[in-house]
Amino acid sequence: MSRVNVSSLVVNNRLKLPVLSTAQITALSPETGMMIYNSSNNKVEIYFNNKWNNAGADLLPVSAGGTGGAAAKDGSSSTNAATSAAAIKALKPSSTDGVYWIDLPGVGPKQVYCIMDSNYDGGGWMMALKATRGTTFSYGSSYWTSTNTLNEGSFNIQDGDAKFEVFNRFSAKDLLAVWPDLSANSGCFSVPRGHIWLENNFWQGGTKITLTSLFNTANETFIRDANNFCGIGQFSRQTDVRFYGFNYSNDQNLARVRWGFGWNENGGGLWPNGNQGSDDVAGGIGMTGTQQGQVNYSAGDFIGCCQNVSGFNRSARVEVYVR
Amino acid sequence: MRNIDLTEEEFNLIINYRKGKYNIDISDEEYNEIVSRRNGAIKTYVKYIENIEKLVDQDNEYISKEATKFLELANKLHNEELTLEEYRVTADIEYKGDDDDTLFKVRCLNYIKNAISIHYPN
Repeated sequence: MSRVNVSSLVVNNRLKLPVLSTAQITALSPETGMMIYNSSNNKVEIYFNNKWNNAGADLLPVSAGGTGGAAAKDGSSSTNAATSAAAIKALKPSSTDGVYWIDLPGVGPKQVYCIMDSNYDGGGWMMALKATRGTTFSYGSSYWTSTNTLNEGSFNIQDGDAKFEVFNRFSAKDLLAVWPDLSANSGCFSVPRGHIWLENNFWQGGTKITLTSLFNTANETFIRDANNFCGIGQFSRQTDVRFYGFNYSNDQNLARVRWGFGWNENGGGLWPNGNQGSDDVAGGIGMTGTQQGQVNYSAGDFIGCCQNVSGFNRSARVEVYVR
Repeated sequence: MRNIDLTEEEFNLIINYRKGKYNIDISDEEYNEIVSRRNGAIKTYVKYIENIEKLVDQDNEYISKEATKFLELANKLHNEELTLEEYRVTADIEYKGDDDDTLFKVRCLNYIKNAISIHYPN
C-alpha cells in the first residue's frame, strides 16, 4: 500500500474507509489515529490507547448510553485496567461486586476482587488481604511489612489466606475490614456479610499510604479510645488502656496487634497513661501475645482473664480492603 | 468562717449537707479516675490472685476445686515455699470434657498461671 502525506485533506462528497474483517484488522500494524470500517461487527473503529475502539459507543459517556469513552479504564480487561475500584465505580456507578483489572504501580494490571456495592460506605473497595481462622498473618508474620504476596490467584471472597499486590502497591486513604463469620449487620455499618470495621482517612488525616508502608511506619498509632470505635461491638474489653489503632505493643511486647485493640484493667486510664504491664485481653487483625499464652491469631478476639465485656473469644476470618 | 447568727448545730448541719451534696455530685469521670488510681497501685500478682479467688467461688465444682489448688500453689510462691522456677514447671490444669464454660475457665486459670510466672514478683 502506498502512503501519501498531505497537510490537509478536504472531501467534498464522501469518504470511503477501508472495509476489513476483524481477522484482517488483527493482522494490521496499527498506528494511533487509524480509522477503518470493521465488516465483522459493522462498526467504525479508531485505533488509540493500543487498541481498536468502537467509534460510536466507546466515544460516548455512560450517561448517553456509551461505554464511557474508549479511553475509559473500566477494569474489564488487562488492557482496560483501571487505576482503582473507586475509579471504576465513578465511571460506571452500576458496577457490581466482583473481579476487575487494576493497574497497580510497579507491577501493572492485576486481577482484584472489588466491592462496588454502595451499601459499603459508597463502594469502590479493593481486597488487599484475606485471612481464614489460623495464624498465617499473626503480628510477627513478614506479610505485614514485606512486599511478598500469598495465593495471589485467590481473588474472591471464599474462605482462605491470601495477600495481594494491592496491599503492597496501592496508596490508600480508607480502610475496611469485613468479618464474615461474626454476626451480620453489625459494626460501623450494616450489611449482611458480617461485622464491619471502617476507618476512613486512616493515616494522618487522609494522607495516602500503602499498607506495607503503614505497618512498617506506624508506632503505636492511636486513633481513638477503643470504646468509641464503631467496630467494637462483638469484641472483648477491659476497663483501661483502651487503645485502638495500628501496631500496638504493650510493655515488653507481650501483647501486640497490627490493627485493633490494646486492653488492661490495672488502672491509669486511657492509653498511653494506662498500666500496660499485663494486658489480659486482645482483639483485632494480626495478633501475637506471649502475655496471652502464645496467641498468634491472624485475626480474632482473646480473653486471658479479667475482662469486663466478653466477646467472641476465638480466631476469626477477616477480609481487609482499601480505597 | 462560721456565720455568727448560726448555732454550732446549724453550722454542722450545713457542712454535712454540703458534704452529702458533693458526694452525690461526683461525676463518672472523677469516680473512674479515683478507682483507676487505686487500681494502678495494685500489684499485677494481687489482681491475678483476686481473679483466682473469684473462680474459687464458682458454682462449677471442678473449677472451684482446681482454682483452690491453684490458689494454694500461688500462695506457696508468695510465701517463698516455692521458687519461681519450681512454680513455672508445675503442670497446667487439664480438662478433657467438652463443657464450653469449664473449658474457658480452665484456660483462664492456665493463662493466669502463665501470667504470674511472667510478672512475679510485680
